[in-house]
Amino acid sequence: MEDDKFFLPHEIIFSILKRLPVKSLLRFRCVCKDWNDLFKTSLFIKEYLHHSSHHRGPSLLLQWDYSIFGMLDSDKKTFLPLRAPSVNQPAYMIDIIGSSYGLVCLQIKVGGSLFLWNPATREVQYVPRSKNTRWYQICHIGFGFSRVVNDYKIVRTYYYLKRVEVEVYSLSTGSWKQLEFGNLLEGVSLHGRFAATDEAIYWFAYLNDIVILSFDMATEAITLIPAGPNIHWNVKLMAYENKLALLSGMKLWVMEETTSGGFGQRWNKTKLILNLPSVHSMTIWKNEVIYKCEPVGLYLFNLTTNKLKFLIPWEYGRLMSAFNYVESLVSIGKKNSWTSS
Amino acid sequence: MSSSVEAITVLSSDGDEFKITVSAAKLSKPLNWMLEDVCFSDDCDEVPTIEVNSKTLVKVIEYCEKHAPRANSGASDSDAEELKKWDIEFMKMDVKDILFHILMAANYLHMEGLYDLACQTAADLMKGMTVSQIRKIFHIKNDFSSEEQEQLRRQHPGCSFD
Repeated sequence: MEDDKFFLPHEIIFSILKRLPVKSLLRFRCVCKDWNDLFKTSLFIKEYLHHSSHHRGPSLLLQWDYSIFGMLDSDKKTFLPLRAPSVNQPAYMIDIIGSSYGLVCLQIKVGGSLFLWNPATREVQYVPRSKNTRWYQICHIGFGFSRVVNDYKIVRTYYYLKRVEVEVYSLSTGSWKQLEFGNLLEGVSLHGRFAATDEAIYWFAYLNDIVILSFDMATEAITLIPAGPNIHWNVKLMAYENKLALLSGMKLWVMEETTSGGFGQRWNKTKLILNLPSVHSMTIWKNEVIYKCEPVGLYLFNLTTNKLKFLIPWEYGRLMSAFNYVESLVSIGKKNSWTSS
Repeated sequence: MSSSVEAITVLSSDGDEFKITVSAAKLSKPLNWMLEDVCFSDDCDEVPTIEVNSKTLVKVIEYCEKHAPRANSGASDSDAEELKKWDIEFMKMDVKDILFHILMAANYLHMEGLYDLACQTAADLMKGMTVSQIRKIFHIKNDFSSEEQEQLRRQHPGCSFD
């Protein structure tokens, strides 16, 4: 039959391959030289990342009780325990700082060493320390990817002489850079975990009142934004539909761009699960808020349908953190493998 | 073209005639252009040929007819859910025998929805395949020399060439 001489054009094969899980691609590099080379090209890596982040949708990266990592597929059906990153430290010493476009930033609890991890390819790289001697200062660390400059960045803020100092590590240069903000950050203190959108990362900060510190990932500029009304310390910073959002119990405010820093209330739902014991919001996953309820399990609250659904039971002890995660072939060690072209 | 025409006739590459409704044909950009350019009224006896074999064209038209109502008017969530189930059933087919032909046809006819669906179906089928099964369906020769195979095995312990 004619099928024996039927060849698919290269572009169609490319379209199929970018829809495969990384695990399969790593196996299929043994198919032929062309495929082995293709999976290392910046074009394929970029296209793969684009497809997995904009079409397939994020999985949920979970960390339990300091020692167990797991991944919940974007279809919410497949849950897989994940091998802990090999950083020469017991897994309970690892904190997840953030996850962005296929890479995860890790920090070791004692000593504060930083690592970048690609859970799909299992590649782990130590992030060299800055030459700054104030490394051990109390600090807040943020991590994200800027699509504008096509670079992953780690932002480290620490206190020095009553002001916040900022230094940035860029994966494309492989080095740290100290940033200068004059008096802008004098008397400012940072609080809690950061939230990241494609454009910026954000922290709660205090300067006479609660404000939000925004760090632009492309321009590396810092802005202090008024946090708006109804803000108290139980509010969490989140990203929702690539916008900064504030989540307080069962209320969510989403920052609208048009109001230049004001928060328009988008969603307000109360008394839904407040009767459950110790319920904590973890993150927003697609259009759902992840709540943990100890010791029952994880719940999903759908922001479109306003319905609450049970997700997974409590099997592994205390859940420490939950992050949106997309698969990628991005290589941390080989510089510029994803920045060129 | 005259607005009274509801279905058009096309020829497959094998020379068989097929009817496709106008609303279904609109799912394909080239077919849509044809509708605007070519005379499809009854007194026009030119039947356009689509470079897709009959077996594949039957499936493509089936897909178009099913998806046309939803593409032309927004559908409710339950419709979308129903259509998703239909897509899964529709895609239960042999990879080499027909799925690859559908991919070619969807690409040639600029049908984004069908192309995405067929690519994802192919990817899902490939997930569980061995390296040699992949080579077989894509007609690829293992062109690694034994030295290169050895080198890859050293770099990636556990990788298999079979």
